[in-house]
Amino acid sequence: MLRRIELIRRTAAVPEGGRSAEPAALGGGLLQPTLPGVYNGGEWLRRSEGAAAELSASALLGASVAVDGALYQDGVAGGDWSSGGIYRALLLSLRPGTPPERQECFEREILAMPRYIRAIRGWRLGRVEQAEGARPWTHVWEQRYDELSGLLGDYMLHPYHWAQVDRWFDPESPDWIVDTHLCHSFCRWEQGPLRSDELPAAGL
Amino acid sequence: MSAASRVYLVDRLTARPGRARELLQSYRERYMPGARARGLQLERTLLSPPLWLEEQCNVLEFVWVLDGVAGFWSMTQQARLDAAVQDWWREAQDLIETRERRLSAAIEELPAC
Repeated sequence: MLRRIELIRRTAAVPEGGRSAEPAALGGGLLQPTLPGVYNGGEWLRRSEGAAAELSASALLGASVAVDGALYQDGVAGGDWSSGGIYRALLLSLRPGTPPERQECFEREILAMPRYIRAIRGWRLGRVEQAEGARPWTHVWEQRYDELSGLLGDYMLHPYHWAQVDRWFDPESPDWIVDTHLCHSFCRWEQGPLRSDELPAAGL
Repeated sequence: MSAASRVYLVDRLTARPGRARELLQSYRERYMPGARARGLQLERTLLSPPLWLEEQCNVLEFVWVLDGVAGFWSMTQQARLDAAVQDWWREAQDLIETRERRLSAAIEELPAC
C-alpha cells in the first residue's frame, strides 16, 4: 500500500477567510499538531495511506506551506498499530555512496529495536520512493508508543539505541552513513477521516 | 531498564606504521580540547604495544567517561553541529589505518547482574 508522511510548516499567512485549496475528501489518515520537542518536525504531521496518499499537502495548500515529506510502500512493519498513543516518524537520508551491504545491516539493526525497546508497540521501516523537502529522504522509520514517556524516556535511554544503533547516525563513528540533517517528529496517534479543510489552513 | 550512570566512550585508533606519535599529538592538541568542552572526561590513554613502533602499527586507545546517557546525547549533539570535529577526523585519516568507537557501561549497571 502506498503511504505518505508529511511534516508541514507554514511559510505565509493566508488572508482571513481565504483558503489555498478547495476542500476535498482525503480518506482515512492522521493529521495532528506536532508536540513540543520535535526537531525539523514541522507544526503539523500528516500521514496518509492508499488513495489519500496520492494527494500531497503541497498540492493542496501550495506555497503557503513548506513540507518535508516522503512517499513509501509498506516496507517492514510489526507490532500493534490498533491502539492510540503517540506516533513518531523519523525521516532520514543515507549518504550518497553508502554500500548496499551497509544499508542492509543498518536496516536490520533498526528493525531489531522493538525486540529490545519494548515501549515501541508498533513499527515500520519504509524505503522512500519519492522525497520532498530538505533532503532526498531514503527511509521513514515510524513507531507507535502508548505514552510519550515511551519515546522520550525508554527509546532515548535504551542502550540498544545509544550504544548500538546510533553509530550509523554519528559523524564521529567510522560506521556513519546517515546525513546529520534529520526530521524527528511526533504527535498524538488518533486516526480518522481527513478533509483538506481540516489541514492547518485554519492557522495559515 | 535503568539508564547507565556513567557511559564509557572508547576510541581505538590503529595508527599507520610509524605514525602513532603524530596521531597522539594531533588527538591531544586538536581533538581533546573540544571533546572536554562537550562533556567528555578522559580517564586514560593506552598504547599497544607500549613502545613506539617504526615500521609497524601501534594501537592508541582513549577511554572517556560521560555523565550518563543524557551526557552522551548532549555531547554527540554538540559534536554533530560542529564542522571542526568532522574536519579533524577527516584530516586524521592520513594517520589512521583503522579505527573503532565503542560505547559501554559497567556490567554491574545491567539489570539482574
